[in-house]
Amino acid sequence: MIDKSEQPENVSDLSTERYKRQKQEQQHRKERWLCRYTDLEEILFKGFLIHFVRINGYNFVFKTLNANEFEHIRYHMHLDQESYYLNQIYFIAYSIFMFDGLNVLSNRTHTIPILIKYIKQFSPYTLTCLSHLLSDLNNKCIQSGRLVEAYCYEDVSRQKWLEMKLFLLNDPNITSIDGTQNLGLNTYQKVWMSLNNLEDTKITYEHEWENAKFIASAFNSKGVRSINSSDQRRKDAEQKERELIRTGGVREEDGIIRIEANTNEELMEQLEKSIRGEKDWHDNVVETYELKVKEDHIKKQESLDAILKERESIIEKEIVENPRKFYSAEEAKNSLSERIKQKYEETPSMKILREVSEGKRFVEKIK
Amino acid sequence: MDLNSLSEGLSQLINYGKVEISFTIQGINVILRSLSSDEEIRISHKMNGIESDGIEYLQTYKLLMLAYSIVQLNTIDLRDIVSLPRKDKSGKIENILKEDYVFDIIKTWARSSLNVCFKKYGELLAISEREAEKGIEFEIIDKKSEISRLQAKIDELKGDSSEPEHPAETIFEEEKKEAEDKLSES
Repeated sequence: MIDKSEQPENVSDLSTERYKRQKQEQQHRKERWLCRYTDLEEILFKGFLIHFVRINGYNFVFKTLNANEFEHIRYHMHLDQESYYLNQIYFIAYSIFMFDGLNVLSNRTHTIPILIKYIKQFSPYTLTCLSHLLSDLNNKCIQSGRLVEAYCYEDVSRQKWLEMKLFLLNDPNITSIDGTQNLGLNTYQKVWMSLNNLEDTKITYEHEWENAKFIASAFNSKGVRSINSSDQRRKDAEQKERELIRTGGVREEDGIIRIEANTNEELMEQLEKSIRGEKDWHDNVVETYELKVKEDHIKKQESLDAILKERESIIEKEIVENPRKFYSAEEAKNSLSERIKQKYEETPSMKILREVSEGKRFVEKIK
Repeated sequence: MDLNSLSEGLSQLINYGKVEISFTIQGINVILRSLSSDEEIRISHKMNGIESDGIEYLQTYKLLMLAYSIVQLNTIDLRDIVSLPRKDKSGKIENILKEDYVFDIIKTWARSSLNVCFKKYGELLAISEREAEKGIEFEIIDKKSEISRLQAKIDELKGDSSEPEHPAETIFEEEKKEAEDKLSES
């Protein structure tokens, strides 16, 4: 039975009810969608994923490792490269975040030797068992980390960036865990920060570009209108591409490089690459993004050159059509250019136009 | 943070997963204890320098494993002993490590006896694994990889069950064949 008191009385109430329901559904859908970033947010704003393990009645909290920690393990292993168990012991020791309620990250210089001393007493089978579990945890971290670029295009990401851009992501004020300040940043934190910094640069650049177009519209409004429409097309294409990445419909041919590590070996290879100083996933993502922004800039500069050429052709046309106004074609050209220079060159907006057209402004920002 | 609490807590886990097995061979009662990772590391260090594809390597490995894992011979308890005094050739008394002491004793044993001991060590490992598994609790992170690991274990067990009933003899036969091959090559 439907309770009549709960039913809306008229059409207006009905539409309000429907609107409310739609809003609620939308909200639920958004929340469900953002749920897929739960692990990624842990990786970005805590620095790692955790897993609870109980060994012989004692509680351990294990964490994922970042590239810096793998590097530390490598330092330890330098003299003992052949020992398989020693590798596992260091891997486990560095993965411990809490033992029986004690945070071991806060004083790692002293806690790591103690942990190693006792983990060495574990049976080889226990070490293997824990290593497998921790490898799975690190793989889970890689899987979640793949969403970092998609996450950057969510509103919530930009909101978090505005809240946190003044801090380092491993600051205990952000992570609420003492000792994270000594861990360094993980790859995904670096990518997230780089992409957000580039987005900030892009916004500033777009702002300057809009100013430059405004000034250029005084000379050739038709040309600027065509630039505007090409800009709009570019923005639409970019928006579409971002939406594709955000929703997971990613196309490899777009040139956006993603992490390819599916196994532990691939993860190790990637880390080794980073240790050797070769380009890793993070470098490639940032480089591709920078390249894309530079290409956009070149396109814009070409459009600006086209406007300037068009302006010159208009002047030449005027000289041919009204020769009586000028002594000679050269003089006329110089006279017109001189008048434009006198009028605009010293103004700040003309300076911006000139610098943007010469590419100086953009280059400085990128540097 | 309190480092003493950490050490104290972790010291409670020293014996986790360690088990002992007792058996009699040629009238001697032997007790073996499962090895820790640290002991395995020390064994692998001692194995450095021995050619890894020769019989010597296999024999030394077996002897070292047993030397480290034997904790009692008849009534002699070696559990808490680190080193033992021994007279050298010149009659001078020197302290040698317990495992080196046991190594020198067992290397005089017959090969078949050593093979039986090593088989018992295999049994000990299986018991140790079961004990360690009982004491560790966690949620599976990746079901796929866990299934593939369990599948590998099932395959391993299936392989074990198809082994002949007398592994000691088989090992001996294999070693004999290997030695014959080497001799024919040289």
